[in-house]
Amino acid sequence: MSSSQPGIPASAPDESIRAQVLLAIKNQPAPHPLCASVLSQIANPNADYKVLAQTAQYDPGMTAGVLKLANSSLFGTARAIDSFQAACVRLGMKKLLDMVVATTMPELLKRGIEGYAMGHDDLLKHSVWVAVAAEELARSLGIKRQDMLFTVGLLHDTGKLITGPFVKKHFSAADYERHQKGMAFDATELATLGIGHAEAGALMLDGWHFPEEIVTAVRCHHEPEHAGPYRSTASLIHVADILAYCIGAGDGLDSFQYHVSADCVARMKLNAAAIEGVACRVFDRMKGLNELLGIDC
Amino acid sequence: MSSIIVDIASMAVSSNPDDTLITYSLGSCLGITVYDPVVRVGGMIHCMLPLSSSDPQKAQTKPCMFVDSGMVELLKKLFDMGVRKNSAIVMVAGGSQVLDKQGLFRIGERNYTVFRKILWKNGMMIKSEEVGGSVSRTMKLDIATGNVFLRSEGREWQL
Repeated sequence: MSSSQPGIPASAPDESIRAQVLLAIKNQPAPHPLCASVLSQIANPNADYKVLAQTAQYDPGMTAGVLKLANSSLFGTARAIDSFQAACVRLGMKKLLDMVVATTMPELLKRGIEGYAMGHDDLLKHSVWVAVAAEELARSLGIKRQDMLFTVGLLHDTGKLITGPFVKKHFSAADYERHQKGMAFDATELATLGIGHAEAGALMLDGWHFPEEIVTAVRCHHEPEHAGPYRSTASLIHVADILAYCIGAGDGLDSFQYHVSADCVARMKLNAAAIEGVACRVFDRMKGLNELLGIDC
Repeated sequence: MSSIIVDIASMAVSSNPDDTLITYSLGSCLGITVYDPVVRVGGMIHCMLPLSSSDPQKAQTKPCMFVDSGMVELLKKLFDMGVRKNSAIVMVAGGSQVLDKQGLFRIGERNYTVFRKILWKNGMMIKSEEVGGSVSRTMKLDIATGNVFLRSEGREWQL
């Protein structure tokens, strides 16, 4: 969906590389059983909480992590939640997914990604920062709390885990030069690999049966205007993502190489004071979250 | 030799010649070093946003978050340690920009503008700088020599 930069010829992508990326997505291991279990019930209006609680009891460590997060001041529940079943009932499936993803995904997100020059923890730091910033941004704009926004923030760049090795292998000096000249990194990915990290991440999450809202917002986080009914979520993630790069939250080779969507900025009526205020508030919340999610500062 | 890491919205000062002050992931943020070769005292700050007026309460508890309040803190501390304006060497790095035609995210540019104003008010000059562009940078200050090194995109060089 990315368009080429005028004056910079984009060569046709090699279809075989795209096919290899798609195969890599297919070969990804399944998400944590607890996460898979929540995902299997999320679209079900009569979700069976007992089934979820049974899955949870096989991994007490992970379940304890979910409860710790649910009871932390950062996610703010009024009364203490002392069992997984109580968490299901009290939080609801969508909020529970936020907690479960935040507990089960960090191990995956801690991996370094050579192709993007991201070290150990960089993707996790960036993702958590974006998740928190998206929530703060929504609050500052008076947007009603959006379920699963935190999850979208946490997972928006998971596609880099897939495309990273391909970027390393197939990006030539000319590709790097292209983005140095102002061609966005996602457009260069598309031109070289035939698929960008946003699309790769969306396909992976779709394969894991994440809800359409999450899949679409991840797919469109660099072009929120294409997110259709999920434009608001994609826009919040888009702005939070750019702000995270500005602040240097878990940066990589591509940090400053994405276009800010003019449509998104105009529609959200953003101004510099608002985004700087968000950056200040995120800074505070991150201190507690780093500890909870096991991020080395 | 010990490395003192200067986190985002923090600063460090030292007169120990064995110390190296280092700050990572300078995007739009500014890394600023002030070093006096006469007394061999130096300091570094990593500021995130230009003006403390955007969150005065935060500026009380975390002055180094902002260029204006942070620079006041850094200079006050260094002057207390014997640094003099006339001999102080100031260097700055960071202030990168995203691909933003509307200018909303020109945080780096605003950081740099405020920094220049503060130096001007204090009658101080920048000796070297590596500001702008679209890269992330790491900055190091060697207290023994006052040399400042930058690292970005796999390269390291002296500022």
